[in-house]
Amino acid sequence: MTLKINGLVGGYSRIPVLKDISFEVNSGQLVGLIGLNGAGKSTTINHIIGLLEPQKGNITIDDIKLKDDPKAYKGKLAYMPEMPVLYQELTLKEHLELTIMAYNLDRADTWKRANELLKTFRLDNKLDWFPANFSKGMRQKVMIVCAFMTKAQVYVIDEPFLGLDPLATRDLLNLVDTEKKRGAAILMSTHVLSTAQEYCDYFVLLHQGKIRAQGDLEELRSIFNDKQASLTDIYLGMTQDGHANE
Amino acid sequence: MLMNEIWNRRLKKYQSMLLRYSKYILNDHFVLALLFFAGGIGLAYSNFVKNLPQKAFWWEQPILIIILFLLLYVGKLASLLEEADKIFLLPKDYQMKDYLKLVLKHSTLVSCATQLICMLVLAPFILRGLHWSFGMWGILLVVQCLLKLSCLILVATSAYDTKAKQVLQQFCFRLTLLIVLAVGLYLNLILSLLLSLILVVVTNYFFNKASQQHVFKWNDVVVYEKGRLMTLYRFINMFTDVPQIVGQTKRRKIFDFLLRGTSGNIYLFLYSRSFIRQSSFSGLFLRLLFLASIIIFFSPNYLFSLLIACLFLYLIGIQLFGLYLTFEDNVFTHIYPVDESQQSFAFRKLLRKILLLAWIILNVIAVAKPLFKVEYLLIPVISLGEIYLITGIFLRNYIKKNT
Repeated sequence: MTLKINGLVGGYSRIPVLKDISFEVNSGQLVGLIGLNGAGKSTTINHIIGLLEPQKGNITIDDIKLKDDPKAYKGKLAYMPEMPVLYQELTLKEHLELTIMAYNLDRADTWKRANELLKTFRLDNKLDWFPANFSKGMRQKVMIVCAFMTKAQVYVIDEPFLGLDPLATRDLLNLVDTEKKRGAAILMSTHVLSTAQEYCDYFVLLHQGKIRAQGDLEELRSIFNDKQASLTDIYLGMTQDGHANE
Repeated sequence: MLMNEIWNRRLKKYQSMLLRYSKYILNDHFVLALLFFAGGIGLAYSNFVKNLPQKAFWWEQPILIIILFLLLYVGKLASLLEEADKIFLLPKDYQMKDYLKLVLKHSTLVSCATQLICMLVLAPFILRGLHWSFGMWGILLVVQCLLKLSCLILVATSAYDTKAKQVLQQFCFRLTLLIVLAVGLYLNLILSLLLSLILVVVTNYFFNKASQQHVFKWNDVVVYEKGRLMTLYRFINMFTDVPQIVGQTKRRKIFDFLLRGTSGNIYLFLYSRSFIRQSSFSGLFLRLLFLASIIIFFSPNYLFSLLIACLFLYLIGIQLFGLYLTFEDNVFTHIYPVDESQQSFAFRKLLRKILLLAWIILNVIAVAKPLFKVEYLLIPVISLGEIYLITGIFLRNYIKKNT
């Protein structure tokens, strides 16, 4: 199970935002996608989930391109947006049912798993409510449950920590860890660098639509010539470097 | 000066909004239906007026008093204040009286225009039935406008003193309005004019007093304005989509039984829930269906019934097309590993069911009321064909154009 991005050039208009992006997310790996606002993180993610079409290069999951077999490609993928996206007119329970239908999941098995997740995130007594009216943090939890109940092979998670309470943050990280051990490939974009440093196995540092550096922490440290540097130091050094180049 | 500027900008924005929507409301089919409707009613009205005798019936004045009284409740105070004003205009609190005066001026003008139009409609009845002179009709119009003005001032006063709104709904105040009108119609028009003038002076005195004694009640005024706008939007929503209407969802648990069997197709699952729980769609359906049922019930012949049935089925169908796009901006519908063809299939299925429901109701009324005459059977046949046209070619073109 591998998500491969190969020479991706793309963006919202003819003028590309992303310039030649290549990286891989392998089975059992948590990859952190790091970059400033506007660096191209969301654009990369939109390309992966298929909202945007690459202008050049390609994206594959297990060597399948979205264009060749959309059903197979999308079936392997679960996405968690930065801002929770919910249906106004669906109850929490119906959101879960919809996910089961959409991904063709086994009903009994998935409900068992969903109930555990609901309990973990303290949503189990809110099944008949409209989650669109929940607080930001609770809506985010609904997104977590919907994404992780699918047992997908590739997870794309966009800035998951904002609005989550510390307990939920811990539970989410545990969940990510279990999925990783199960063999899922996980791509996570985030600004919370201390957490990223602690949990990610590999980092892709995006800057102005290009990859400035990628590798695990040791590799990044040697690129930036500082054996003690934290991810924050590296990140700030990179952006300041970027400013100097402008 | 600043209040003037704010008001002018608001008014301009509001009027351009009304203008924009009026294009949708006064679309071809509606104008046509309106012409038919007005023509029919106008004919009946003119027959009625022509047949009134030389000496007025005893009930003519009371009827007129009740109509004029009810007309006083047409038209609200349009303050055009918004939620955010509570914060941004708060430092201008002391100038809000100037703003309210501008609001009053505008609303009075609009209300007087409404009264004028209604009085014009009533003119044949007043001139022919009661044998009034044109001048007397003019004085009655002025009385009516002054009474409306005093109602509006009371609403404006309630921006400072919450008691004022209760006064408006109080029996005493209503009785005063009725008495002024009765004096005009039975005793002396000039006296009635004088009384209505006094009422304006008195309410104006209370307005000034309240504005000095109390603070501006931001919450109340904004809630009132919101309510007014919602009524307006709900009306406009019968003809076109109004963004402000969307977003009101209610659980409506009792209709859950209708949703059984929608689990095979995610779009059917979504659309059917959206239709039932979003007031904008189900409300629109019910309003149009209700209106059509009433018109068909009073329809004079089968051609008119047929026309109305087809017109309203068309309106319902076209308006519900908007439901198709509800989930376009939801990222998940694009991410699910589901065939895209499912979407139009599911929507067509649901729309057909909804229209068939309307078809059954309208045709039962249309055919059963004249006790099953043969020519009336044309209505179900033709309107059924229309439904398949709407859910076929029309829907296909709409989807092609909008996705």
